[in-house]
Amino acid sequence: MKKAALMILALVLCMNMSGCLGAVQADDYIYVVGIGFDKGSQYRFNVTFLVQKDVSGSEQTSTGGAEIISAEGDTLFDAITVLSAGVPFRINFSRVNTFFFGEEVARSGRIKELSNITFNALKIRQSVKLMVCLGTAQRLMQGLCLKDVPNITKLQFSVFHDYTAEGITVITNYARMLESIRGQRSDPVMMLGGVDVSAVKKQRSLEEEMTGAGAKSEEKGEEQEKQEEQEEYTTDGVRRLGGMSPYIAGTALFDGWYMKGTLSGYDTMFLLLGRGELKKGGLKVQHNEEWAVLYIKDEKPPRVKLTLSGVPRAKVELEMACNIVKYRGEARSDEWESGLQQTAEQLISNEMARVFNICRELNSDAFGFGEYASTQFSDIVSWEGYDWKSKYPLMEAEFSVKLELADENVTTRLE
Amino acid sequence: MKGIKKIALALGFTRKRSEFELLETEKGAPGFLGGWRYAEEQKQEEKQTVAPSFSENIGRIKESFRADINPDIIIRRFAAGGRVEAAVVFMNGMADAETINDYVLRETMKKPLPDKPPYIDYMLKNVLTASDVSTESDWYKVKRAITDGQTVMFVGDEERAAIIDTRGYEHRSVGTTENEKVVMGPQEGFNENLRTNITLLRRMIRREDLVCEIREIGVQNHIRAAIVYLDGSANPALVQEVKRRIAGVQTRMMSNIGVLEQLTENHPLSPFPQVLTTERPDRTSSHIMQGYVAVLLDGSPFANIMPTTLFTLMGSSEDIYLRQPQGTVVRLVRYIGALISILLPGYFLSLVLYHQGMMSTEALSTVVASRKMVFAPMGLELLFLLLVFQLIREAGLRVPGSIGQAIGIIGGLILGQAAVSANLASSVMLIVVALSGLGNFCIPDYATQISASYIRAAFVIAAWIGGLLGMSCMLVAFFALMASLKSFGIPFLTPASPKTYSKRPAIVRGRITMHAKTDDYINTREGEQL
Amino acid sequence: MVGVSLFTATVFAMDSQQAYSGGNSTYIWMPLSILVSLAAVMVIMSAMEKSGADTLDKLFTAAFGRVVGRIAAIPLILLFIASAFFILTDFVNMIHSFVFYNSGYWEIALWVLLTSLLLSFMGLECISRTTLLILPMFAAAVLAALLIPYKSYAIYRLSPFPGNSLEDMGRLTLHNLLRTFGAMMALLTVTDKLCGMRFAKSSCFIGAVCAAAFTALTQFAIAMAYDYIDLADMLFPLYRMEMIMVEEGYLFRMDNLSLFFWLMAGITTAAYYIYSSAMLWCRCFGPKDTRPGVVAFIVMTGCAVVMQSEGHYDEFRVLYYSAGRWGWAIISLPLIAAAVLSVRRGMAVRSGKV
Repeated sequence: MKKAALMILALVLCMNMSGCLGAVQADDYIYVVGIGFDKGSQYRFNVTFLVQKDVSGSEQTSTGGAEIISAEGDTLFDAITVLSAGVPFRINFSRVNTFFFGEEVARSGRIKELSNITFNALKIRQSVKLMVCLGTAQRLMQGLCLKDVPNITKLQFSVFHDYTAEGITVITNYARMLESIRGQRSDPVMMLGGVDVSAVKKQRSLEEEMTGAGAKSEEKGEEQEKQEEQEEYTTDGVRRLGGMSPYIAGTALFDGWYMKGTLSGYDTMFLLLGRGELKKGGLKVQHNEEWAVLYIKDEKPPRVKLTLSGVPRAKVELEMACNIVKYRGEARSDEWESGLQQTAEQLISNEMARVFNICRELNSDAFGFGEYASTQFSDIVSWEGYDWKSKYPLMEAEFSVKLELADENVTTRLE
Repeated sequence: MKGIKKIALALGFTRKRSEFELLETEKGAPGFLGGWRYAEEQKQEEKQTVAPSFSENIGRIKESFRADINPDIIIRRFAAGGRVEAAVVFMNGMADAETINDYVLRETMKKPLPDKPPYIDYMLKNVLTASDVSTESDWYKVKRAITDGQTVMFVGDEERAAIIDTRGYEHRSVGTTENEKVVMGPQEGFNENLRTNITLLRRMIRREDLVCEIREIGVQNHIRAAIVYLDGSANPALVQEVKRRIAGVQTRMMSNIGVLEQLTENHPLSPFPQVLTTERPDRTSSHIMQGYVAVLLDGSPFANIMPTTLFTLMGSSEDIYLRQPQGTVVRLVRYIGALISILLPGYFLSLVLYHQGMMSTEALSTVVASRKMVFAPMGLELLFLLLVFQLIREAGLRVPGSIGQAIGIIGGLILGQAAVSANLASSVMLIVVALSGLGNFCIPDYATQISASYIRAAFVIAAWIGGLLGMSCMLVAFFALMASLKSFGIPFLTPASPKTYSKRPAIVRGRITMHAKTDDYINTREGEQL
Repeated sequence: MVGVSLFTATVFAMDSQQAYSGGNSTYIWMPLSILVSLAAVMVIMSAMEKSGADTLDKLFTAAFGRVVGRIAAIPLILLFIASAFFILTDFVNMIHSFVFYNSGYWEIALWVLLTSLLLSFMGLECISRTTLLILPMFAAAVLAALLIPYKSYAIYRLSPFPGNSLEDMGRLTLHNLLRTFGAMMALLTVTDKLCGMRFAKSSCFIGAVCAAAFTALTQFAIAMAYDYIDLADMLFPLYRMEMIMVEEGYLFRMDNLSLFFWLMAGITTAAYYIYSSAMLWCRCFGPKDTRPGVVAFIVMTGCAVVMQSEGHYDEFRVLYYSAGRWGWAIISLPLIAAAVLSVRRGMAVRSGKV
């Protein structure tokens, strides 16, 4: 009995001697769910933090579920230090799931400075998703702080997953970006976001007209009006009314650490086809002076035959299924066989070749042909000696598409 | 099976039965430096026999039982056969007066006796019409018989006394079980009468080799205990070990089987009980049929079943009454409940103190929002709520009748809600504690439920100090303690660790045909199958 | 015990820089390393079985004599302690890097060491049964880490295939024998408690083959998740498997929890090594009770773990260099002993004495 008691006492004492492992209560933190990097005016970066507010289920959410706070600094840690002095809680980064990069930061290659940060120190996971913002990241993050949306994380999840499911953008994370750049087998591509204040402004003014609060909105300063004029972006070239001010503009193309160009949502669909990542997408095809809308789905990964002797040449074969969602004219599968299939296949091949040319001119191996190239080597000396990045600008690619009609019945018929 | 056992023997996976025999027996144990160490015999009075004088015997009785100041002892003198001086001695209230009147006194007074002694043998054969009669010359046993409620008859100057079983003291009738409720299954439970309990078992086990050996326990207060087992099935080494441990019990008072349990188990400080305590005859009989040994104690409405394992403690008799899928679901829910009970509070505390990244942002913001005005640190708040839960539970047990049920409602709803409103606790923490408490009630064995309560507290403290690191180290230590625990030679975590040949699953309910066989780790006599 | 020890030694206690700098063929040479060790240990076990030496100390005593045999056992004792040291260091570093970045190494090490001490203190029965209990959770945690990101696996990450040249693979296989050899040799110190050499052989065989298969599977999955350039700089690739996922799910952050199940396996592995070293020490040098040896060795290991974790690399560099250079000698000692016994037995058979 005495021995057991002494042993237990010794164990307990030792465990207490082990000291504190740094316990901090959950309510002593504020939780950052997104970090934005813009070019700073005084320092290298203007870092913006998207912070989740603590909202219980029964509380009213008149102010929304998130807010932004920002500070400038030469590094992320400098900005954190500045902010910590002004925020009454500790800052917790373990729930960060998105990095937002302003366009200027992306184009100037300052993203590279992030690779020197020890994410472990901030408990940021390398699975953090990446987005480039047309304009500044801060505006986009501000737009995400919506009224009546208490859960910013769910909103972020919806933004990333729903849009990629629609086939108008890509999704990537920091680990994949590092892999692309360091492995030299491909170049990173990131989701491209923009801010369209006009749609929200118009929606708000309509609502104010209806409720009779329109008088207040007319009192604006000149500067504010000018700013709003400049910010009259349109969502992918199309004016709209309502929705969120942030929108998904397509894909940002990178050459290593540097952003070189963008692809629209339409072009992104073909990029995704080439990468084998398209889940579903819509395509409008002109056939016999009529328009048909095809709904592409169930795509198998592309078969790529790459020859590296001399100039790299790739032959990409895709097989996919589609539904005819809308067609003017006779609603029969005969129409499909009479020429619609060939027209659609030709269209897709041509568009893919066009998108590939855009990427090649920007020196961005967005399609990831380097991954196929590496499989043709058996040791790293020969692979690293080949230097794929230098060979890529000379590459030629040929795309051939085989479309199959998944459903012979037309779902909608216009009279 | 025999072929597999032969292969196992050949490969050296097992040994023959004789190699496992214990050296310690009921009589004693080998000495540390050799020789033999005999078990301490209970101090007895100098061996006395019944005196060859009637008056001396009566005088001894009066002296021993303080007849002058103790009105309970009844000494009824009469003339046996109308001429021989005789007396019956019994304890008022312990013996059944009607049996004495009708089957002893009346018969003895009226029927003639032989001319010459000995009279006792004649009376046993021809006069006394009671069912259980015997003779005894040991004075100690004569006195024990009187205190047991039997009637002792002295006839003339015989050197033996007749002992007639006239036990008829008041006892509770067979009622329902209070602590082990089942939906499907018998509702009878043991009561405080040893004979009734043995009868309940015999009703369920109709085998001629069902043995009930009676032992007296306690140095000065000789409470009877019955060791019940199937002689044709139970491992003789196990039976011997049970007897040895009971023989080694040296205590002044044996008031309940819980005392006997603590005095016979190897690790009384262990969080886990090493015997299964049950008040259900069906559960006891099913274990006896599987080769286990049961101990019943006079005055205690529970039975101890040994050996036991964790899976036995977590089992319920209802598992086998249900069909296999239902039984499996019930068992899984029970194990999940037990795990939730022990691990959830600590796990939650470690997440909110150290590993916030593992919680979703929604959950985090809910926790933060619920704790806005709570002043206590989270660890303290959790321990406080666990204590409150235990208080409510204890109060519910002690408060009589219908008020006890109301305590649950008051404690659960009003007190909990009031604590949240008064900012003494947060609603999230309250839910965690409530879930943990519900899980605790899923554990069928009462002793294991209480163990789970303080093991849970240990995990909470480990989580408070070390987060998931503390929890995982505590879990390893906990597993180690369980793995090293044995119950009457059987490892506590059998058949999970060590694994045994049995195909019967430990957690899910196996096919009913599997339950017809004995557990292989009990090592019942070979070829045993129900 | 053998299986878990081998797996933790090959997957967790692995030098990433050394393993991946020339390419990624770990899924080939690591299991091969286990199988080569297994072959060597089987040879030793057969020699022991035939000569009647049922434990390691008896092997050395029978082969080299009492005095030389005891001296020959010392490198193996140190090998077991070093194996425990490697495991504990890696786990302490892992937990410090990924979980408790702001705390000191001592605080973390104390938890882990005390638990290992408790296990070793309670003996082989306790260690083996605890390992058996932890095994399903450990296996599930590893499988979860491999299966959750399955959508993100890509074959191209294996290329260039196989990456390392055959010479490199051979060198790496032999270089890692010291890690894999210790787990099986530790079993030989307690063979008499395992109902005979035949049972020990079958246990060793099953454990090693399962560990080799599981290691191959794990390393193959890691190779499909990250390429060799990323892996060379990565501390614990298995922990980062879910970082390549772009689509979140309910089990997206399972790695944080899985880490602690891996830690439990690491604790039992360390306890196994410490117990074996104490047992071998007791058998060779007299004390009947392993517990003082267990306490002494765990204190030594603990101090070494904390020293190394807190930056005293120079002292350990010498140790690593020596182990890399002279490790073959440690492995060859029991092989030589087995060879001596076999030769003696052969001579005895020929001369008709047996």
